[in-house]
Amino acid sequence: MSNDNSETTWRPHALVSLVLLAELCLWWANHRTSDELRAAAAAGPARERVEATFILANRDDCAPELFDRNGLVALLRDPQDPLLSEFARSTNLCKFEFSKPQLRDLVRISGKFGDPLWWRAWFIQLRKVGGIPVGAGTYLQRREFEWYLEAMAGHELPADAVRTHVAQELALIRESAKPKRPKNKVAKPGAGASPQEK
Amino acid sequence: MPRLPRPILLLTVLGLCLRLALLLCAGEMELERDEAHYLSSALRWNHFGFYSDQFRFMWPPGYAFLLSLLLDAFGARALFIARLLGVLASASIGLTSMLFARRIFSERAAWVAGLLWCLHLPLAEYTTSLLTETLFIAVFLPTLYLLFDAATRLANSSDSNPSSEPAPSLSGRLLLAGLLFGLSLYLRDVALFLAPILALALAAAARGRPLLARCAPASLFLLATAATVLPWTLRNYEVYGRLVPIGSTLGENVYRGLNARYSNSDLMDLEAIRSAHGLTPLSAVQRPWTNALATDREDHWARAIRPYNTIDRLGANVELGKQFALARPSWFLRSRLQTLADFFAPVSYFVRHAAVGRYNGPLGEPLLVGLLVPWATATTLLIIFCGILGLCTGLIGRPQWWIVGGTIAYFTATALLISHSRFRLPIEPLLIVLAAGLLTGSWRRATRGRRALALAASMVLMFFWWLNAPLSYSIIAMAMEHTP
Repeated sequence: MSNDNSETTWRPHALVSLVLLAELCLWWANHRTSDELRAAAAAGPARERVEATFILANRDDCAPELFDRNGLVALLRDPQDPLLSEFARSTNLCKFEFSKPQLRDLVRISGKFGDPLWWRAWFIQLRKVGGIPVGAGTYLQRREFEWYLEAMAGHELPADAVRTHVAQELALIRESAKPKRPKNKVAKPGAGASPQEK
Repeated sequence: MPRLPRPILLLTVLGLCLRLALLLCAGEMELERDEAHYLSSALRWNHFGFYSDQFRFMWPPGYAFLLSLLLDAFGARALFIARLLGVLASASIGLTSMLFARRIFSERAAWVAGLLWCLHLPLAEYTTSLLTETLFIAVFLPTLYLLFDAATRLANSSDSNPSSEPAPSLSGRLLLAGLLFGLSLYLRDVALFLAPILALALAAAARGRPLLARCAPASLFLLATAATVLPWTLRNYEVYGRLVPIGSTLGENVYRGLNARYSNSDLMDLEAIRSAHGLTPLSAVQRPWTNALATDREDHWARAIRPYNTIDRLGANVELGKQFALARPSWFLRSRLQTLADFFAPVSYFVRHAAVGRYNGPLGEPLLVGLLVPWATATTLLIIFCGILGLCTGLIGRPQWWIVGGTIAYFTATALLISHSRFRLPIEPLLIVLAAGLLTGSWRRATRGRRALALAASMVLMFFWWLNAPLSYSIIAMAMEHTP
């Protein structure tokens, strides 16, 4: 900066550069390699396992070999903590198998509409960000949000209202899953699937 | 710190009261698309303890984090508190707009800007929603003002050689500007590439100094911004193994903006309502020019679902969109012209929300809607028209052109990708300032060349409005007739 004599002082620059360096050092100190993450994901407190799995599922090539169908089902049915099966329903893992094992599991444990744990599973499965490819349903509604908060507090939910609501949602999902009949579609020579659909 | 004049403070309080009334009258509305996503992300943050992946986007974490804190503290009431925070934060927008007008034009222009800010319903309406816009502008606009102030001082001290500004004061301003700019990026990453333009503005303002002294203010601002953004950039590197500052939303916007269908986010949900009420589809009321933008359905490309890494996948979408556009240069040019026309169209979220019947409080009453929809449309027309004329006639000197003009140009350019009146919001306070300048005499003071430029700009604007007239009219008519 310039002072009264139009000289430049670089003290503020040096100070901010030190802050940048400190941020880098802090990151370096907390950085975990993939091997360390694998160890943390395999055993330990549920919250730490979930966090390590989250990074493994997103870093670099996302370690897809860890999240095949068997791996997902194992996490879904892990008895240690409901947090593990709930995380298995999140976008982070649904991107690998397109949420089919998760949806099947949701149907398997259905019939407990007043159960807060079931609502939490349903909510995390269907009200995620990411759209149909990761098994999201329609957009989150206020009533669902209120039920979620109730469920998080461990309160029983109004089973009949939840049942009716879920039935409507499942009907919507079934409807959207039906193949659409093309309207006035004229086949064009050479027209094929886009590269990413192959 | 100099005391603010009483009229400016009074106008700020008036604006706050009007926004509070709007919030209370809007009622407890159902969540819209992006609102639902923000809330969903915040709930997951609370539940799992980290910011989850979003597959289609990589939104900056600021708003979801704020919501997660409010949810922790207030439970279900967090949604109202978040909107109330938006109302309070909007004071920063009004105050800074008036300060800008006072600095560029006059005291009288500041009052006019304050009045326009109070009464411009489309800007005020965002405080009733759970969207990031209000908070983003509330942080971003003071950044611009600080930089404008610094650039003006640099330019003045360059003109009259000895600096009148003691170094610590200018450094402090630049550090604060960098910090605020970085924080604004945590709310919306769209401004990221404005940083080098603002740095250039500082360097341009310091013309006439030795090269190193000229670079010092710009580099200090950039360093302060980098120090604010680096923690989340490193977090992204830790999680994704890729260096991405703050967030990435380009892939999804490219999918929607560079694809076979004409996509206009202001029209979302309207077609279904029109169909249910037996109204002509919007695609049928468009001008042939707009209709012709929808290419053959066979050309439509789907979002990439591989690779698994979100940043790489979003990059793949950008590549697909680029290939699509490169193969259709004439379509690309025509569609960007349409997007520009949509950007300046006199529609707004308020009108759209009235058209889809979103307000379930007194604001949704037919009488109030019948009064406020024309009002919102009229202020939008006024602010865009006078703001563009004010841009051509009112700005004098490098700091004004670089910072005010450069910001308007930047946000207009970023909005070229996809049609959405929401993307116009960051420049609306600046258009208010320029409109106030025009209404208080910038036209009279302008040179003949500037007036000719303003007339040419107004002709282009008229063409855009003509191009969009059928669509805009249909949306406004839906809102007026209270179709839902």
